Amino acid sequence: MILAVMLRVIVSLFLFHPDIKTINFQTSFLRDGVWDIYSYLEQNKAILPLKEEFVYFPFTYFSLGSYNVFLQTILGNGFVSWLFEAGDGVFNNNNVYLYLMAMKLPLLAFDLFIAFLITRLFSDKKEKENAFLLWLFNPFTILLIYAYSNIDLYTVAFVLLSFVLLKTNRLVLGSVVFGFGIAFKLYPLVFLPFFWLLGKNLKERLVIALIPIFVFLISIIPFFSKSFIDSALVSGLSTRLFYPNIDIGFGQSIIVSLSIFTFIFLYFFGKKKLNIISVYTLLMMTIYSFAHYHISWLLWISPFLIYLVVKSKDFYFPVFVYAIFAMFIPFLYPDRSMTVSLFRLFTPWFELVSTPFNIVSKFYDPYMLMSILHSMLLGVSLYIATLTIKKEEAL
Amino acid sequence: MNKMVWFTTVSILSFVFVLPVLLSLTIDYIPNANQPGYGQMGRVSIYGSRSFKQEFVSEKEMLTGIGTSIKNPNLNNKSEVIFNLYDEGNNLIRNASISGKNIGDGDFVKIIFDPVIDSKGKKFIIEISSPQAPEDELLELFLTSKNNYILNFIYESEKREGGIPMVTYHNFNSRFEIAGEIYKNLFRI
Repeated sequence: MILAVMLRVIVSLFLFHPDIKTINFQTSFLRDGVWDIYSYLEQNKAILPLKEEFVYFPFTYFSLGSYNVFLQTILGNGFVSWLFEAGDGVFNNNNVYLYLMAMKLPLLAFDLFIAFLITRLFSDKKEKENAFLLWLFNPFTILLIYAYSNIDLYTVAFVLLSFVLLKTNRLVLGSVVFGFGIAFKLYPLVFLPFFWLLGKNLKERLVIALIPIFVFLISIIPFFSKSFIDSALVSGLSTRLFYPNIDIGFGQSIIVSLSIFTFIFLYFFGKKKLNIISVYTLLMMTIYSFAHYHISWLLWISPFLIYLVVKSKDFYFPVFVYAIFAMFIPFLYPDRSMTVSLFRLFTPWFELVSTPFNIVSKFYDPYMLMSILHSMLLGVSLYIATLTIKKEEAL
Repeated sequence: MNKMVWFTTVSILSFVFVLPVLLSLTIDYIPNANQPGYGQMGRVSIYGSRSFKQEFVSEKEMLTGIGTSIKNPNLNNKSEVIFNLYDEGNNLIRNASISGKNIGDGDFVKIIFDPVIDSKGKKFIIEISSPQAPEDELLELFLTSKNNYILNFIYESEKREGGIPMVTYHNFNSRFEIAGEIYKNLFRI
């Protein structure tokens, strides 16, 4: 456990992705009494040093904002000034390591919480131990969480907790917790139709399928405005899920992922017992297979891939290959902050280092390489999906 | 499972402590400083015979280039953009050019030339011009205040303090210098 925490602290201290600072800058306004962050950022865009919109939901703002109030109290005005810094002062500040660690501490808490939570998916003691160790000791989730300062981790924790509750037949509570997950980030919504399949009768089905929507709506209705819709509800990342489509002419197109979601729903519709983890894994793999995904999205599936690996050794190799491919593709995106700029704290000279995209472009078309890798990722996904369905009874 | 613990430990430590040094091997030259902000001094335009001369001091040895932000409004300029480097005695010592086609509107443009040995502490003048460009293909240069190395600029025969928000680039003696800088910064903790 000490080694696991040390590795996480090392990555937290030395690797910098700008998102963690941007989110903390935006949520810092809660202390000043700003409730509608969407309108506030839009109205004050001209005078604020960071111009980005707040693309998350109100629940995210209030949760992270509350922790930010605590940080501002402990770390003082220096921290607030640093959050407002937009130039090289961000990296030259002597307290930068302290600030980074402080901002990433909740990630550490939730990461360790997930390590314990994941064991609740198993009944066998050996399987529990393996799942615990595999969550703590795999380089993929450590980098995804701490290098990219991935706040999707909180949604992952809510979804996992919800599944633990659903597996132990606490359907209503599981449904409420799932609602909190959606209120943090929208992506688990694709699983919502499957709540319908979990209920034993019509009343139960209606209740557990509607609760997450109710929790989500309660959390957003007070903040409904044009700014909110533009920034959070139809942000680029949310809509990207449904972007890949096949044009069939006359203005119509087939949304590939939606077609596959429908197929998965119907496949499991007739089953006596719904294996929620298998379903969720298939849904998430569909998203990565057909979308230009952000590297932080890969965290959504991570605990469930670990579940598959622990349940059957047959998954070990394909999941490992899947993780390598899935992590490597975003490294090729023409975005410095995904790769070389992670090391910007070490020296400003890393601004001169070529990105993998630029290096590849000297020899080959990087978009073609990404397409090849993404197609192969789809192939590995299909193999894992086939294996999941084949071994469904044992999972 | 022990293998996974080893694999994770070695992967993470290599990613954080070894990869940056490997990446640094691809650095060919280093800047003297971070690019200064644009300030409130406005912009000047260059085209035809209207050129811009910047006086600066090289803070390090082996001056091998300069970089600054250039505006190419509506990407109109497609003519040759010439960069002439003069020493303090006004002798042309280096010359480079790029096509305006390769300059976006507001791009940070880097010009690299053969290194000038023994450049530390010496004054130089960089002249930027686009003699073939008519007025509707002008380029614009941002202006900033005077600092340690940006001294004065000459524009339309008038000499004023300050100049373009430029950085200078320098070759280095050894790649160990870069690796040393990385670890030195790392352990300022």
